[in-house]
Amino acid sequence: MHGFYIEVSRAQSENVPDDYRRRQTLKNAERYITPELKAFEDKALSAQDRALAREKALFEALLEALTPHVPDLLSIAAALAEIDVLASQAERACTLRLNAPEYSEEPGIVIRGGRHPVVEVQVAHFIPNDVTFNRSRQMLLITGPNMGGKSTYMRQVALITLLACCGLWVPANSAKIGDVDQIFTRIGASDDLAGGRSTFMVEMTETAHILHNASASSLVLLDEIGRGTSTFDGLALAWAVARHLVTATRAFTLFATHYFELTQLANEFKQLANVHLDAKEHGADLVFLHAVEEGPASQSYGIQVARLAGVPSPVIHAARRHLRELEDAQLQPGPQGDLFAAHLPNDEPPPHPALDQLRELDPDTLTPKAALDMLYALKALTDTSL
Amino acid sequence: MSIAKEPTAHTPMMQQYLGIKAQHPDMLLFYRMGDFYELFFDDAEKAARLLNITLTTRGASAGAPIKMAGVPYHSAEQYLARLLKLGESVVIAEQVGDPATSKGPVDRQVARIVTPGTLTDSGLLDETQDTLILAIAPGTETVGVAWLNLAAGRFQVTEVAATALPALLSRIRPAEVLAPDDFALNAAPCAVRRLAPWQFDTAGAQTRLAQQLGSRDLAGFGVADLPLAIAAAGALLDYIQTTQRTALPHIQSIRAERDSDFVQLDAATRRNLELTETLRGEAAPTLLSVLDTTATGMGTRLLRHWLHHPLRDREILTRRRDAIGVLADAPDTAATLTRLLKSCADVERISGRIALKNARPRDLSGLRDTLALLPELAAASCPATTPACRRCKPRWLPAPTCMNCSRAPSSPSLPACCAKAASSPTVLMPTSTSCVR
Repeated sequence: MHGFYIEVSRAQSENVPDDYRRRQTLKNAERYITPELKAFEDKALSAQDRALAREKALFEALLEALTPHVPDLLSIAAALAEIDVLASQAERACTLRLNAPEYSEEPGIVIRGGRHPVVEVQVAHFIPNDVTFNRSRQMLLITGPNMGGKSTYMRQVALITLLACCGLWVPANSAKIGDVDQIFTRIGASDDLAGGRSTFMVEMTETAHILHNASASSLVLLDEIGRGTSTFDGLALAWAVARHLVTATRAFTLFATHYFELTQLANEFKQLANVHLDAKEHGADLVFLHAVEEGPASQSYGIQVARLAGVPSPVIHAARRHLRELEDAQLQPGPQGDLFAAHLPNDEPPPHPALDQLRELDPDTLTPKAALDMLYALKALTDTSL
Repeated sequence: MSIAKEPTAHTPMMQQYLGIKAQHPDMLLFYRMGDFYELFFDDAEKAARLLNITLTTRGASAGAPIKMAGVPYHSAEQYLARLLKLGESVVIAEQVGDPATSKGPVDRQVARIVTPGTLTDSGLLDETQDTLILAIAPGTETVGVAWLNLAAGRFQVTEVAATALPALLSRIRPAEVLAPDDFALNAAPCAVRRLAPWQFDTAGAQTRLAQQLGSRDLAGFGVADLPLAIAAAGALLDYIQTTQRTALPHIQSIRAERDSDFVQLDAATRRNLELTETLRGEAAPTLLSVLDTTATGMGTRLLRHWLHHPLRDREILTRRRDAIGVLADAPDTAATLTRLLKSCADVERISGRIALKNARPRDLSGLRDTLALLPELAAASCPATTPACRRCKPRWLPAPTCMNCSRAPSSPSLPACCAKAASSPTVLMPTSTSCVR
């Protein structure tokens, strides 16, 4: 049975007061209820419901009471967020060796010992680099081998500039940043296959956007403009884009290119400077120096990079030969010709594949049998190639 | 929809269901039945596909078996989270009548509507990212844009050239976009909800906004010369009021954003520089992942916002830079602040939930503990030896116990509010005394 009752033994049941109402009869007892008890029962049984309702009402009243303070609370939240960011950036400044940027009234960007904050934490030795932009030095034409760090260099300039414009400390020994109104990048090949646009179309659309919108206070990063089309088309476009940016737009521009012909633009425009990233051949290996130097690159090391990537050696040798023929055909008076001639004199014979093999050979590690086999292999090479 | 036209041919429960569904034709309806939220007809098929739950049938109504799929109410949150991530909106209809006393089907009402851009529940939100909803009112060559962070009550508008819209969207990164149904919106990176063009009406919007902001007109907010932006803001506010079904006391102002305040970055540049997302769409390694050692979700969200909004105002930049300098010179102070901040609750989102009346008791106890930490934070953040720090001080913290600044607290009412919150747990303890026998 559910609820409250007064139990009286059967023998005593005759003596119960008049207002006792019988609820249940058991073998030896009667159970009664009175109006007063009934009232208590109702109260007790509904207590939980009322407690919940009361709790809900109190909670809602509390929310109601807090509501007028919401604007204050939101400003506390904003303050907490700001302290949090500032304290964390102070910690980062120590850990990542960041420095405070300087803001300059002069247009331009001058960075000493700049690093790429994301790449830096992923490699063992990151080589810091400088950059100088001002009104008499508006464009840097960057040449150098693929994988040499052109793209990292350009991005780190943009990231350092952006961090300075966030009021944050920057990964550089020093950075002096003038007013920058926009940052543009045209980097990497992003095919828009879903949109039905080719790599070249995407490249040109983004380039058009930059040429239309960039101003003299903008920072522009252009990587390998013209790569997506034929050599002469691409070269012509790259040349025209660079020229427009130097003369008409006057934006601060980092222009990475594999067209060595463009390096001649420096003779025409004083605001344009050539810089390059270099590599050194070390035995069979190619070592990227990652240091940005003034002047155009001496060679692109494309064939060496191809060999590093595992392109079969007959293909590499054929490429070498063909490169030689092209360069011979191109050697004529003019700055471009001199550039190549200085490093690859006309009369040097093309390297023989047998010589390559000999150069890579370590005689101390050969068994007599292997040495003999190698001798036969070299002999065979002199018969087949050339 | 595969529903017979004749409503009277349906069972009474199905009639009730279809009545609610008719008001929200383009959202999924979670219809509470006992311990489950059930979906019917096309909703059931869609949910079964999206959530990989079993599609079944239930009896027959109007002569045909009814397709049905359901999720248990106690694990509904995780299914909701998945649907929202896929850009779906969900209407939740709860049983409001008492099943024991009602005749026919229990009375049911829409309890809440969750959409990707209007989330405020802590369980469904990404702690490290602001959740924003954005509305677009197109003009002939420009578009008006309004966006709202509902959790924080931040309401902003701007007008930009139509061609600059992709760059704007990639900066703001809304979770949900509202646009008129005749507006061509290419490749929006989020859920898009279409509204009727008349909902983007400037005159109506002005009245609605002035009413919400508690002012006679919009002149004081610096947006009066932006009719398209006002139209967008009006449509946005209308949508929020419809879905939230409660007052929005924390939305008290609207701010116009000018392009010239920021260093502009186009969408391709944001992507290429991998500021907060790699080219493959991952969270690390990026500039944010390297720099973010903040202690709170609020800090992460602010840092993310800063990285996407580089400024041209040298005064603000100098202040931030120098404040970092003060703390970098006092690494112990910075470490103390970070330690204290680690114990802080997400005051921003809790405040939003208080305003929207969906705060939980745990929110308030978190808020109480955080408010109690403020004096200590204020004391710690007051090396007060440098002008840079003194300047930001009053704006940072309203607490009165800062030893070096003898300023009065900027908000004297707070301690009272703090005390109220502190007393709340006793009120809130569940009264689990079971039914008296």
